[in-house]
Amino acid sequence: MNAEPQASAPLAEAAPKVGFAAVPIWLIILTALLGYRGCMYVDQFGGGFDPKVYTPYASFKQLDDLQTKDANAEMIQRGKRRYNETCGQCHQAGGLGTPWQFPPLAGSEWVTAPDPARLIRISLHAVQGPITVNGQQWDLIMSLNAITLGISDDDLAAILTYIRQDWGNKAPAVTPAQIAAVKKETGDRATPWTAEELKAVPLK
Amino acid sequence: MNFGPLIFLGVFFTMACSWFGMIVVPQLQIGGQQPVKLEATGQMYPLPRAGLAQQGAAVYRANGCAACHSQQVRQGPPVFDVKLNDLGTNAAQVADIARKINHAAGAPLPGKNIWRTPVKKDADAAAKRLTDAGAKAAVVIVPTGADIERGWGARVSVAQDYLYDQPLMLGSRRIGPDLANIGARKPGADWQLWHLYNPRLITDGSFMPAYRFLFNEVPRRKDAPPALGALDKTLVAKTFPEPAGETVTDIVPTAEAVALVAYLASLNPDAPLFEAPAPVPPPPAAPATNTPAAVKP
Repeated sequence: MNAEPQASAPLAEAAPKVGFAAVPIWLIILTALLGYRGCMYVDQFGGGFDPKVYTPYASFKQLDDLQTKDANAEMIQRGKRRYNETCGQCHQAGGLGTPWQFPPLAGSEWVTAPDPARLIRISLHAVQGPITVNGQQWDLIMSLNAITLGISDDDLAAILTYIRQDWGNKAPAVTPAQIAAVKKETGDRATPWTAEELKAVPLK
Repeated sequence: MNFGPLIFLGVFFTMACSWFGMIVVPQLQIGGQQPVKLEATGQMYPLPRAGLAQQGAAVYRANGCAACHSQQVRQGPPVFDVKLNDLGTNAAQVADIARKINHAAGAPLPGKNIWRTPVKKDADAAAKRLTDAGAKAAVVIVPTGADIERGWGARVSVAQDYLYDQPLMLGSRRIGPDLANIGARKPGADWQLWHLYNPRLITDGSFMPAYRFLFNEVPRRKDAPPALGALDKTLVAKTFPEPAGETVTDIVPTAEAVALVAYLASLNPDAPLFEAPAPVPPPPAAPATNTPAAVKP
């Protein structure tokens, strides 16, 4: 019994004490590295926290680019914009023209012919002189055309597709290739067409 | 020393962080999600399940199907097919361009995919070349990944697909196959019912439990007419032969089994969404029949 306290005295000194110790430096560095990696991961795969973005897609923009867009609808939209900037000044936004000055495009047989060969020629080099549109006699001086305005083949195709498919017109779209082909055929022509010349152009 | 307040603060901070990250942020992100109008068909998506299918969801839940079957499709990065819909008037030039695109011999056939690429820009450029030559070409997005190659779905599963599901039975294990599009994968209610009655009758070596308690087994004399609503035995003629004796047993599904199959048939999230682009699915075929010819075990 007497020996016991002597034996327990060193134990009491070794009992744990409450206190503070410095965090090892390697643990701080490891935590920082893990945090850095975590941020990189979220940045790479988090999709910007956008609720519309799921794996495997990385961003909203990527998804937006993937949407199937109606090429014809886009072309018509672009054509409408370009039409209102150029042709629409005279032929009007509704395509009805102005009586005794500018002939209508809506319902015009020159616009809605299935083969656009004559329409492309009119838009490229303009038309002059007597011409019948919608059964009405006109004597025209068309002042603007695509070549003097510097409208590209792509834009002209969009404009012609628009005027052929809006206002109740239902004609097939015009492609830039068709316009390039007509440009090749007509060479460096600079004078406007007459109705007789246009009627001589064969339609497919 | 008394560390009570410090420990309380530490625990509170940890719980608050996870509550904020796992409850509040997702609620803000997708809590207000609404059905969307599909551009392809003009229908709303998703539509609520029909009443019988809703009852079936409860049967699905009660029998613990979600313990072995997940309902979510994973997806890898998509690829892009250039599809030639129509050769147009200038077929020779289109064929020439198509050959330049895919380096394949032989003339391209209208209605076929002529090229596959992982880069959308390349596919768009190829389609534009074909369109400029007078052909009708389109770019089709094709999701890839192991799940999709197995035929388990058309695209990645997104939150929109589960808008009307409560509770959400996504499942976390695939002891059985994923069931996200089981409605499209297995035609015919007859197949599903026999498979529930005893999976081994349909799929050899299946280790799914048999749900025979969802069926009534009705004995009858061989020359008597079959019980009302009894399953057609032609589908399992080989694996479930008629006994030789005087009596046969008719298998009649209970209302629960019928509801469960209606639920399974309603599972088919294949609509192309903004967040999950996919090819427009073909219009639904004629309603599934019980004829064995339509069934592929």
